[in-house]
Amino acid sequence: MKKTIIIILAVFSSSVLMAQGTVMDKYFSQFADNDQFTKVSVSSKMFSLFTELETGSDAEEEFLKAISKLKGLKVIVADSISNSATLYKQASADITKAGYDELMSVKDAMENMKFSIKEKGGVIEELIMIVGGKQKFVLLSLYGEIDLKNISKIAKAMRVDGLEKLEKLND
Amino acid sequence: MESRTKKLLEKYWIGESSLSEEQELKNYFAENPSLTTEGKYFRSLKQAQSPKQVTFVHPKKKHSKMRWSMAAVITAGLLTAVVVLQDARQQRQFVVEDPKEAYEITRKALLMVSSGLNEGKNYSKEISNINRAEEIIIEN
Repeated sequence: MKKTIIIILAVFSSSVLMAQGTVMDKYFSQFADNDQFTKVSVSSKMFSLFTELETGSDAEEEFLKAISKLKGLKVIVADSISNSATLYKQASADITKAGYDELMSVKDAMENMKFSIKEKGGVIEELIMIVGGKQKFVLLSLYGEIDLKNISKIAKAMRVDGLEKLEKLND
Repeated sequence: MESRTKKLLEKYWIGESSLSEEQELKNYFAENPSLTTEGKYFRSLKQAQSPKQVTFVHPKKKHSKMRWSMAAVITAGLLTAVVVLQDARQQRQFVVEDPKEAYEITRKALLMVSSGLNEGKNYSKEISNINRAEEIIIEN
C-alpha cells in the first residue's frame, strides 16, 4: 500500500513538474493567446543552418561564433502594455524561485534590466534577460552553452561595423 | 443384487416407488459400486442430489485497493501525457520556420543581450572610476 502511495505521489509530482516546465515555457503558455505579446522561439536546427552561412563582417563572425553552441532562443516581447512593472517584478521573482542566479541588474530612468543565469559545472546553460520599461516588457532566454564574452563582443563588433559604414558614407 | 433392491428397482421403473425407497436405491448403488447402467444412473442421481458447494469468496480488500491505486496511477499518467503534449504543441506554435526571419530575430535578440551586458559593464566601470577618484582624493 505504501508503495502504491509513493508511486502515485511520484507520478503526480512529475506531472506537476512537467506541466510547469521552465520559466519561459510558463510565460509562453500564459500569454499564448494574448496578441499584445509577441512570442518567438528559434530552434537549434535553425542555429545550425546559420553556421553554414558565409560570414561577411566581423560582427557577423562574432555573432555566429556566439550562437554556435546555443541550442535555442525564446523571446516574449510587448511594447504597449500597462502592467509592465508588475510583470517585471513577477518574472524576476519567478526566475529567482526557479533557482537562477542573478548575474546583474541595471536600472536607469528609462527601464529596468536583469540578467540571470543557470550554471552547471562552470558552464552557463541558460541566460535569461528581463527588461521592464514604460509599457515595455521583454523576457528573453538563451539556452545551450553560453559564452558571455562572445555575446558581449557582438555589440562592440556591430558598433564598429556601424562606424565603418558611416565613414564610407563620408567618402 | 439383493431381492429387495430388485423389487425396489421394479417399483422405480414403473413409477410407484416412494421418495424414501428411491433414496434407498441411490444409497445402495453408491455403497455397492456396480458397473451396470443402473448403477451408473443412480450414482449420478445421488451426485446431482448433493449439490456442489458454491462458496463466494469475497475479494480481499487489499486487492480492490490495489486496483484503485493502479487506476489512479494510470489516470495520473494519462493526464500527464495530455498536459505535456498540449504544452509541447503550444510551444511549437511559436517556432520560427523561416530561416531569414529566424536569423534576423536571433541577431536582434543577441544584440539586445550583448548591449545589455555591456551597459552593465560600463556601469561597473564608471563605479570603479568613481572609487578610484575617491581613493585619489583621500590619498591627497
